[in-house]
Amino acid sequence: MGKYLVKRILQMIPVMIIITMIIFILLNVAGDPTVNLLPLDATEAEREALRTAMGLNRPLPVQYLDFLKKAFTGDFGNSYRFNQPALQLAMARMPMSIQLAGAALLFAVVMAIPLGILSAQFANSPFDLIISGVSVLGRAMPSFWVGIMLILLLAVNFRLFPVSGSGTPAHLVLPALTLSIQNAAQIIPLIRSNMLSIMHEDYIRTARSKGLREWGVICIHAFKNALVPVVTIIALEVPGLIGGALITETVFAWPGLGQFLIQAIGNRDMSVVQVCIFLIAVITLVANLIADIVYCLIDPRIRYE
Amino acid sequence: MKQETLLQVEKLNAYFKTEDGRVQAVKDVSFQVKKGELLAIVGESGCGKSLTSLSIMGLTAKNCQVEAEGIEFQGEDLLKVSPRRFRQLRGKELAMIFQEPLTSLNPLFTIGYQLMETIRLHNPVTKKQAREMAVEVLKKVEIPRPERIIMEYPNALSGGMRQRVMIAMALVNKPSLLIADEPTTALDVTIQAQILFLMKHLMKEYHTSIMFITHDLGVVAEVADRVMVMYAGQVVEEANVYDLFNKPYHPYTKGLMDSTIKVDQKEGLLATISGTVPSLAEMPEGCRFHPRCPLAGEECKKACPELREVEPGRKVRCIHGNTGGKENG
Repeated sequence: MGKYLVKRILQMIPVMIIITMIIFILLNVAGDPTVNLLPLDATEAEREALRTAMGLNRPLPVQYLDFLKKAFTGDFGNSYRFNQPALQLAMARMPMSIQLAGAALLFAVVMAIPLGILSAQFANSPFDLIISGVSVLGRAMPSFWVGIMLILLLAVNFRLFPVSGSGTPAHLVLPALTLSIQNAAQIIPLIRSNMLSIMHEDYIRTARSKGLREWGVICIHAFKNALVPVVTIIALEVPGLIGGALITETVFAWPGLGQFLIQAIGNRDMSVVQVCIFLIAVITLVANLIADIVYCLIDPRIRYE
Repeated sequence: MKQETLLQVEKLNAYFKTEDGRVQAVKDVSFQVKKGELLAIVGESGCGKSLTSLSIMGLTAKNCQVEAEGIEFQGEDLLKVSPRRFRQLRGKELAMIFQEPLTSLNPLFTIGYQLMETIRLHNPVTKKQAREMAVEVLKKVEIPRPERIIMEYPNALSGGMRQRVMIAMALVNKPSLLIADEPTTALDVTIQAQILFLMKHLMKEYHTSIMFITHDLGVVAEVADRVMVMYAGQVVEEANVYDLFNKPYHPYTKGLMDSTIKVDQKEGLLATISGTVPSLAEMPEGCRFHPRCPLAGEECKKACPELREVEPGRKVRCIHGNTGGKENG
């Protein structure tokens, strides 16, 4: 396991380097930043002077190496807009994003696990049909609409939670719920179908032959086996929840990374965009690493050595 | 010597609900298992022998319906006991070993966990005591280094070792009846012999009766006290093992014996029983074996013969009675 972990972490280095290349190239084809930085009536000579000062006139490989060298020390340059280190600005948004993603995942898992198990247990019953229908609906509803509906219902009509903003745990509920509905809707059918096939396995019959009660068989012997694909889905969702929840963050004015990224793109704030994409890439890699470790912990048959 | 009856099954019927309606997979099966005895149930795949055993354990699939006049086990009718009482019996008094050792253990739990689970379900012991009992029973089934094995997951063990674990799990609570459903079919021949020897040995030590389900007559000859032959969901012959092998009465039993290879066999083709087992939905009228039977006459097509006692302790379902088979050998 230790050896595997070291190998797995070393593998992340070339991936990171390739990611930095892609980020660098994407931003170079995105356009000339001096257009935004200088007043509209600036002369070509003034633009040229700024380009030289920013090092944008150098050959691309040289610029890239310079970018990489600085990135390695955590220096992604200053935000053009805020004139502060871009990494620092983005990192300041991270706790909010992680909070939201964590709460959303927690809601999703807490909803999905019992519902998935129950609909497998009562497969093809009216309960199962309702749950299956609701999960199709959950996947089909766009998050901006769900968000607005939740605001209308729970914040405006029933005044249970604040409409938007951040600061208290109550502020977290609606955006987390919005994000969790789609996730839960993905996890429920997965657990249901896994449980249905697992309940026919020979080891389930063995567990019953021991005299274990049916819920013990389901919750201990079957559920652990149904968990591996669920971990996969969660690992795939985490980066999207932390960095990509921009619509929900915008609807609820939640100051997270996604919202920050969208604003930076609008402002052509290149270094902020770079740093946000970079962070999302890192989160993706780390989430995958954690998922791989969790697989090993759940299922001893998965050995990567 | 008169032996006490442990399990008495009366007219067991099992049906499957299918899209084409209800089909009967086991028909009027009655038999008993006596204390300390090893009853072998023999038959081809699909003859209802596994379903009979699963019906006794109450472990049949959801689409299967079991009816019987009685399944009396130690004075209790298993069809009438509460689910709670049945759970107390299952794993404690009634244990089962399955055909597939490779898939019968949960791959995500350690051997120790799975053994201790069975122990702690039926005995008021601490975790530590259960662990000691687990190690003890693994020693009994001759697993080397049991202290280490209890920390392993099933995938670290070979098929033979896993079947030993299954036997340990079944016997750890010293059950009165062990149902072994083709426990050696998935294993290679040398391991098979070891497992059979082990089961025979432990049966004496734990005073357990065994209902041994198999399609392998060689295994039957090796282990059984009494044999019940099943064909197409019915019992066709029942006898003690010596009588059966000496003089099979039912033409089907005779056919089964002729179609096993013998050491002194001269060149030529192995005898076979012509035709195939009829499907559940298309059972022939009359004797279920008549389309494949060399002795079948007109009356065999009309009515299904009763299972009748032709000699003390010997039953056969054939109108040709004890003339069904010739002297063997």
